[in-house]
Amino acid sequence: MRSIILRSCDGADHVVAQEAACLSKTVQSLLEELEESTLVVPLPNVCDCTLRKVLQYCTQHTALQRRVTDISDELRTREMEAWDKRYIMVSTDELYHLVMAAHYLNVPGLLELCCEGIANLIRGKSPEHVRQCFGLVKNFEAPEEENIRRTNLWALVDEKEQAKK
Amino acid sequence: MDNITALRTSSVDALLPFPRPQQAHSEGDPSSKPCSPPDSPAHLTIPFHRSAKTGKGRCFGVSEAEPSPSASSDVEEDTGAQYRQLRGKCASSCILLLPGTSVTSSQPLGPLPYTAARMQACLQLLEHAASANAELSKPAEPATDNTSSPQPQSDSACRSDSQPVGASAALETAIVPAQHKGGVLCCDASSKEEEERTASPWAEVPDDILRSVCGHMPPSYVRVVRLVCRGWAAAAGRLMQRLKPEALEGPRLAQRFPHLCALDLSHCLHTVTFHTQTALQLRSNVTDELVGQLAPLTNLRELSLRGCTGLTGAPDSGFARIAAFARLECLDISNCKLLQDDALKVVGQLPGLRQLRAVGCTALTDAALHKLAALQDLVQLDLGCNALITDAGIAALANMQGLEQVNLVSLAQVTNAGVAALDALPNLKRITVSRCARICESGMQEHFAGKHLRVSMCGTPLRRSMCAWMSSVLADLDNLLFER
Repeated sequence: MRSIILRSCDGADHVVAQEAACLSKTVQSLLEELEESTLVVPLPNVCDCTLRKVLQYCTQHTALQRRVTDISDELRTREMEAWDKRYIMVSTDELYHLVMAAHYLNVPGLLELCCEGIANLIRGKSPEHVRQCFGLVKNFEAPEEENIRRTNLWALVDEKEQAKK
Repeated sequence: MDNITALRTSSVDALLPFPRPQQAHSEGDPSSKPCSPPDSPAHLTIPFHRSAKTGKGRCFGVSEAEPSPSASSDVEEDTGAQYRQLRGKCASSCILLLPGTSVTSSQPLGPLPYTAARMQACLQLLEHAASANAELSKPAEPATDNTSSPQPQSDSACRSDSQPVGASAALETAIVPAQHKGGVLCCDASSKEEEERTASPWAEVPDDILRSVCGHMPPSYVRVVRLVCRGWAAAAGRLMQRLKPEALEGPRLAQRFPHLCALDLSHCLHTVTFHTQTALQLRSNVTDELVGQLAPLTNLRELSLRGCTGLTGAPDSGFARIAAFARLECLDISNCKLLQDDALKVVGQLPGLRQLRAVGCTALTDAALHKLAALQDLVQLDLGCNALITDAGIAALANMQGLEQVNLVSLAQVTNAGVAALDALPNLKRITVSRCARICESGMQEHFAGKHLRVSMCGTPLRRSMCAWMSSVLADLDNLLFER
């Protein structure tokens, strides 16, 4: 198995199996463009700790995928889901860097996982709570907010209100 | 460049120039806003849901017709559409431009390889933006809105300090002007929030990430997302691709959701009219004019007007403008009981149409089917329950080479001869002639025996000879359904 080196923006090198690295479509296409002999792929958009986290995902998933023979499909899926669930329990800050890295590196599974994590953070919260959670600022003027509330009404169904009626 | 406190390299890639959105100030008092007068104030609108499969209606509470949004939303929506074009794939660029900065560049758009030259160009843009901001930075105005809506205490406390809370706030998350950081802090809580306000990168999440996030939540949560901050609100409108509005505000739909691919107006906005003292009429408010106003939605691929009983399709009405939906593939006009033959002339001009459902359009006659002849790509045609259609109309379908499935359920006047005409269709795979009183087994026997054709005849009166015939040809038929 060929190994390659991924270099993060702060210059740290990570040695990783090519198979795992190619879960990232960006790395894959970079490898195709670069010459055969190149072993170092620079990733100027990803910092060291985020890259480490991403690679953790890639190696774990390739490892599980290669274990075709010894466990059944169902068991493997379940194991992978449990691992994913633990993996995505990170701070919102970390989650942000992770989702941006997954977006840049184009790792479809990880991107989906991150988005699910973000959705779980949003679900069940009021807009104010969401803002607190993500450290966002309420940058609406009051009339503008009222306007958005009103346009919400006609385009989207409010399930709670419906249930009441 | 000194006052750049946070610059994530990942967003530099997306730094594409675009004109700054105009400030969406609400000017004048709200009562002067254009407000479409309801055609009759006594009318009540009832959001009406019906599951197409079960046919069971659920009726929810009665609500008033909603007033139109104020003009300010138009401004925002327009610029939103512009962003989409300019930014291409990634939406994260918005935070990198500062209030008052208009940056132009001849940089080509779209995903480019990450090169040193590009990085350099991006940094130049940043520099430009930062210097422009330095000129603009004046003592920030205190927030002028005396908010009557309920707001958390911490938030209003924050507003009293020197941070401008307005259209510009969404644009200044990543690069923070230095002087804003020294604002007067009221209490510890606000200082903490002040820090977060300057640091959070979440306001600039790319559109496709936000779309994926929304995909993991129930649709009603999109409204929560829209209320979080201005950037998310704009993104949520841009992302919308499938929409089933409960009520409709005419032309604004096209302005607000320019990238819609599917629009379901079935049974939308019914009005109860007390027709006479004893009769109650339930009529959809979706009119020809309204459908005409949707014409800017050129990306539309699916349109359901099922049960829109207000449509007539008269030649000089707005309905004729649906010819603009050049990409439309699926059209459902079932149960549009007033739809006239002329409407199908327009439908016949939709070049890409693959699926047409016109069940229970009781006003359609044979002449309508002749107008569909140009639809050579039509694969599926559903004509059930149209009492006026006769053999002559069915014969007109024989020219539509692409047809694979034809549904002729409950066509009381169609006979064997009519169905026999469909024998000429080369790609036909399935005919459903259930509950057609004048179709008998011999017609089927002559024309479709030996073909790999799925003929469904549920509900057709079975006779002994029919059974005998069936046992003889069953081996040839692919499938014969008796699922009554």
